[in-house]
Amino acid sequence: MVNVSQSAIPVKNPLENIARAGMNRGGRAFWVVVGALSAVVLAGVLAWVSQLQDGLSSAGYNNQAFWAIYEANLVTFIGLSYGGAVVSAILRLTGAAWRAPLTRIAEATALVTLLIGMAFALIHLGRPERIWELVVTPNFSSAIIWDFIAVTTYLLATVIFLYLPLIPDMKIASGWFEKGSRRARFYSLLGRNWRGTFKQRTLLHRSMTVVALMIIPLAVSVHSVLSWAFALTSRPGWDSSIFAPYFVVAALYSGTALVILVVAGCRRWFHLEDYITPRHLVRLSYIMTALGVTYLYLTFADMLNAGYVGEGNAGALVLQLVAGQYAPAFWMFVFGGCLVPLLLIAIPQTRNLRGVLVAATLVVASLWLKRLLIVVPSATQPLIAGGWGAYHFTWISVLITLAATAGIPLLLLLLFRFIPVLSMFEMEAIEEAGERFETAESVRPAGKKWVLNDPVRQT
Amino acid sequence: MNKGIWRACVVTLFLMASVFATVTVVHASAGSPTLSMSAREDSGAGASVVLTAKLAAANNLPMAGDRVTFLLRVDEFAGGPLETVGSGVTDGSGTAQFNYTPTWTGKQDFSARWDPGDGGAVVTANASIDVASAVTAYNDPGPAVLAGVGRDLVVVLLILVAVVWLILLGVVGSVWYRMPRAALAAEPNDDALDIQPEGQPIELQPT
Repeated sequence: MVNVSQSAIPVKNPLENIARAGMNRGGRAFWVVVGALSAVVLAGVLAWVSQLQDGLSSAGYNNQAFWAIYEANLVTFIGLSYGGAVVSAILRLTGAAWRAPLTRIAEATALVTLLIGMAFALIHLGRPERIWELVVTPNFSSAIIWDFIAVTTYLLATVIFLYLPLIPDMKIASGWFEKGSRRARFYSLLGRNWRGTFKQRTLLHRSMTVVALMIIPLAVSVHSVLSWAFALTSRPGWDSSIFAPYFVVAALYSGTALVILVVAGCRRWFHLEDYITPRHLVRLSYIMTALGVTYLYLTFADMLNAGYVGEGNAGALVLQLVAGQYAPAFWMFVFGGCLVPLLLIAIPQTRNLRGVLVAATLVVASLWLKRLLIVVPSATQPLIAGGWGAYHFTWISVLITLAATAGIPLLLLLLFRFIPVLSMFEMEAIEEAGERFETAESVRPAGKKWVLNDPVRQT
Repeated sequence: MNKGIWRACVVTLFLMASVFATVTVVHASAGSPTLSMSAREDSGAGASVVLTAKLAAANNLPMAGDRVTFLLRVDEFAGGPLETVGSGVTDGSGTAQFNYTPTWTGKQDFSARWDPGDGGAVVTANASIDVASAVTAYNDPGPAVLAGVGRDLVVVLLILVAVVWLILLGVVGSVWYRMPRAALAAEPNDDALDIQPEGQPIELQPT
């Protein structure tokens, strides 16, 4: 856990104290966690080096399973990023006051998962040194080049979306360190002489609104183009007209679930219980539930046509999914990724912090499984002759996937060493505007303390 | 007997002999048949390889009316090293033929395969040939109907991306440049402005 008392220059404002919690010198727990996560990431890097030497077959790829786990990881991690950005943007644009303590965490999650997702664009290549040819000899009739353009544009927007609300906080943060120190000067530079004047607030508000408006269609375009890398082929299971919205909803669904997990993790790690209440997480779970129902419907719609007509390869693919070799994984996704999380949120007795966290964990894990089910069965289906191919995990692909997963908390911990975990400016601005962003005090029943499984209904 | 009756007897005997011979071959197929194969390039018919298989019963009598499958050894496809290219039915001399159009030049290995169909052992034979002329398997789709639209669409999309980048960089550039100036240009009683709710008219107080 973070030692809140450690700081360069003590500050009296409790909000500032909490917001800067991660920026203080880390305690033993911090370094133990960072060390463990770094070890996993390092193991993944070594596995990748081994893969570069031995080829993609060392990751389980073969001439039938030509796309497999890395493509699923790429779609999963970029999708996770989408949730953080869009949830934050929509909450900003709709002026939801309760968003204030969550936006920084959601935006940071969006950036971190996007960077990890983009790494898989390299990892899934057998000859990654040739990627520069994508830039110098682009083929504009290929979905891959538009993927590249969309993702880099989205990365730019995500960085700006994280930076703009940071400007006032950077100025505040510059005062936390010795005047003239490197860190104070760095924060002062990024703080752009913020004094909170009306002109500055207006400029910042307009700029943030423009970027928030742009990041939603940008995120939609990223996942649509990503889906078209599959859908514009003639393979059964991929060649689907609803793949673009299907991917977008999946990204939002899993992304919102990850935001819930990261917010809950930050709440506990940085001691944000006074600002982030279980109610925040339950509200996020309502968004997740709505997306989950939509995703379940789209899954049904996607499979109905092929399954009902039952013709040729498309029918065989559906049969493999619902009753064949992929049936255990498919039904695990249906129950674990859709039905159980929906029930956990729908039933009042389980609609508490613990229930929401279990639901979000199931969604993130099951949606990764779903991406594998999208990629592998279609890729391994024989279209010319012979039997179904197969993809088997290898220690290399598993280590790289684990490293990417460990990279999320690692990068977030490192990022929050440099930026405040809470958007102090927004929280204060909302209070000044006469709205309340809900603290533990404001929603906690008199004489009661928050407990882990405190049902939200009690609030 | 007149000549007509003699002629009719000869024809009848000939027909009976033919039927008898055919039946004999069919019965022979139940033994241990042999299959031989040859491949030659037909230079007169463009790119064409004539695959010929000869099927004979254990007693060396030709087997007619049986289907022989011809296969080509390939490495490209995942279904297996041997891909079916065609088939032919054996004639009275036990010969089946198939004209294969090669899609690449160089040494190619063919197989002929006869399956008795009654659970008996499949009989195969192999032949290789160095193919000199081939026809590509790629079918030119011809001019795309929307090719022009596609080119224009690419230009439109690239312009759209450029506009998005310009807006995003413009927003950051504007904030980066104007933010410090907005602080410097602040009124002395700026604190009063700080709490001015957005969208409300601003009334500047005299200093």
